[in-house]
Amino acid sequence: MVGQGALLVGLLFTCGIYLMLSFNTQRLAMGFLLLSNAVNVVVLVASGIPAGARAPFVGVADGPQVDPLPHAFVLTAIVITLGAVALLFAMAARARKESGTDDLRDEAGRE
Amino acid sequence: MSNLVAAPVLLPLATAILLFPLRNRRRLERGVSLLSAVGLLLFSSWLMLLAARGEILVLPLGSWSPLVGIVWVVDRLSAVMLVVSGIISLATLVYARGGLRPERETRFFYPLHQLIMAGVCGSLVTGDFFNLFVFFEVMLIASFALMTLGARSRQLHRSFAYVLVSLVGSLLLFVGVGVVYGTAGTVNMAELSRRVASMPLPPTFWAAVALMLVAFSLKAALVPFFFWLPDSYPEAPLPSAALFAGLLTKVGVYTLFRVVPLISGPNPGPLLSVLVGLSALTMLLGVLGALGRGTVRGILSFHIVSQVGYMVFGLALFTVTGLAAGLFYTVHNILAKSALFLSGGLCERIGESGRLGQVRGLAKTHPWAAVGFFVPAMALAGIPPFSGFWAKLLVIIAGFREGAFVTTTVAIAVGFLTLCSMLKIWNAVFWGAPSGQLHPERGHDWRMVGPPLSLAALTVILGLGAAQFFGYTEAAASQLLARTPYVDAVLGSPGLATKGPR
Amino acid sequence: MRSLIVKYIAELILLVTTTFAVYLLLRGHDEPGGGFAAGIAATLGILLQAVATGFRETRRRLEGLLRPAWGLGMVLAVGAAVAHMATGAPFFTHFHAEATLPGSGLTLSTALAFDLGVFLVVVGSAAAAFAALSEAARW
Repeated sequence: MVGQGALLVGLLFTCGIYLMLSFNTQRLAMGFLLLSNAVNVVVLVASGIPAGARAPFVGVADGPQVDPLPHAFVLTAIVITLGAVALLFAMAARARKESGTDDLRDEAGRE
Repeated sequence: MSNLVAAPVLLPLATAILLFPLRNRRRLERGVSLLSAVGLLLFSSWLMLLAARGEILVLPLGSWSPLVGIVWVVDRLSAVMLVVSGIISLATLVYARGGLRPERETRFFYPLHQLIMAGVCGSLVTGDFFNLFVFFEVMLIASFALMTLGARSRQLHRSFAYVLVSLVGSLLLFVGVGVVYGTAGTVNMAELSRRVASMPLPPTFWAAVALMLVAFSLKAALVPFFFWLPDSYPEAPLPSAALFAGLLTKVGVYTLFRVVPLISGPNPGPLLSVLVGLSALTMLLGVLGALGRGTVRGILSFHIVSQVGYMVFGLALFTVTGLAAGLFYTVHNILAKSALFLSGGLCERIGESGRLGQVRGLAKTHPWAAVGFFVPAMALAGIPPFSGFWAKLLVIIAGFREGAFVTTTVAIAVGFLTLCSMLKIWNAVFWGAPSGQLHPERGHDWRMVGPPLSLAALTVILGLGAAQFFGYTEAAASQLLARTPYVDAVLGSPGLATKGPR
Repeated sequence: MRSLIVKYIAELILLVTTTFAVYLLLRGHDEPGGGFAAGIAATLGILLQAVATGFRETRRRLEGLLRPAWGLGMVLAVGAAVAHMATGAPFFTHFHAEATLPGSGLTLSTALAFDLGVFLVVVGSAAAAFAALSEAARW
């Protein structure tokens, strides 16, 4: 499980960083989305793998239960990311409307 | 247990919610937000009165145990920061009326301002790393929205970098928090401090702590993480720029003050020497950058970076005098820097441009605006009798006492360079024969002259009452370094639930 | 892409997602679900509707419902968190009570107030975000 998690994290980070190296506002926003997902997986994997443990719900049989706190962390982070990504895309759309380009370099060169 | 702790967070939050439906009634909107800012200042002062007696107020949210739930804590450090935040919030709101271009005032300026304050106050009171991350995000997302309010495309592109850097910084913080939880089993600052002191923790834990420190340094604009600041802050609307300049980076500095003493562990030596080196670089690079800029707010923005160096230097000395000096410096700097941004913005409004040399001779035509710039500028440069003189002197004394000669020498030299660039603005904008004043009447609007003047008056008061205030920061510093009062107050707090909700 | 089939199916799906959202909301207290998941489910239905019939049309139909949702939700959620402070308990303390609806086996608890608030905030703000984006995209 840890190995798979590490692979997934590696893949997401690679794609995210690749996208973030671009100057295109939409790619940057998507890159951020991938990075934040990578980070969410890191937090889940780092805080213990639920080998055979159950979800901590009322009425579930005895036995080891998963620690719910990291899940709460990740859920909160997902909500925040949702807001942040919406804002990034809104900014990208707005910038495109104003300047007719998605490229950050064009604008910088025009000053 | 005290619900008073929740007031500085709840009040701005509730005001923001109330203000959204009011957005078409400008007058009511202004009134409500001013009222709420006054309330925030009152509540914070009340908290500071309690904290000054050495009390540490703890509020376990939802009566959960601090080990699994969130705690909000106010000690001397948080309390003084809350009061200063309240002052800045009030000053920028009064200024907003005249300082905002009308199209920017309409669109959610007031609710977003309140949301930023909720985020700032939340970051100041929280005793839990994950909650700190959440409040950082509240603060940042509201600040992004404020920065791009009614923005033109150049502003949008400039702020894009700021937004991405801040968001990625928050991701680093979140990875750090997650891995700290995975390795140490808690994200409560007090409990973490206890565990760091009492048990050996794996290297992964320290890597995670390092990630968190990087994230905090990024917020504080410490070298080498300062590059996002000088380009983005001058693009924000005027009153927001003053709020950002005064508060947002200082929240990063505050977290460093809070976190480093708590979790630096039994052997903080290497971390501290890194911090000393970085603070010297920060002072130097910031001031050099400022010398090369040609706009009022551009210069002032680089000075934010430079000043952060002094604060972190005080922290890195890790003695009571050092921390106290750093905290004194932080408070002085929030006041002086916001005043400078407000009065610098006033010049921009008069001349419709921030370029040096565009508008001239303001000292003759607008003497009060000139005083509102001169006093904080001299305070920032460290001229007696203003607050900055004492702040710098204390940092330098603490530095020499600890034998950090190189950095202390840098600190003194940077003081002179700061004076140079303040004089550069002064000569270009205020001195000489009046010219280029496109809207001279704007400079007589008391709503724009009053706030920087009041903040300037505060730096004078802080300078005259330096001994008393240093007594307070010294007490705060010893509270921070002793660790146990904070840890005991949080973990031994009464009012814990015997059972969680089901 | 104004296909009649897509339009009617989207209508049906809106019904299904909304029902599912309510289901998630009601069971969210002690089983998987809750305000946020329910809010996202409901928003997805609305979004599909918007894709099928156009943003302007959807906006006209749902604006009256969605516009006050954010504020109402915030008031509910913060109100639920603050309510118990009146008795001196710490902020966010949960005032716990629950009742089973006779004949349905459905248990409603006071935690629902907070969840409902979160649900409304999510639906309201997500819808507002998409509306703003669709506005910005029409250049």
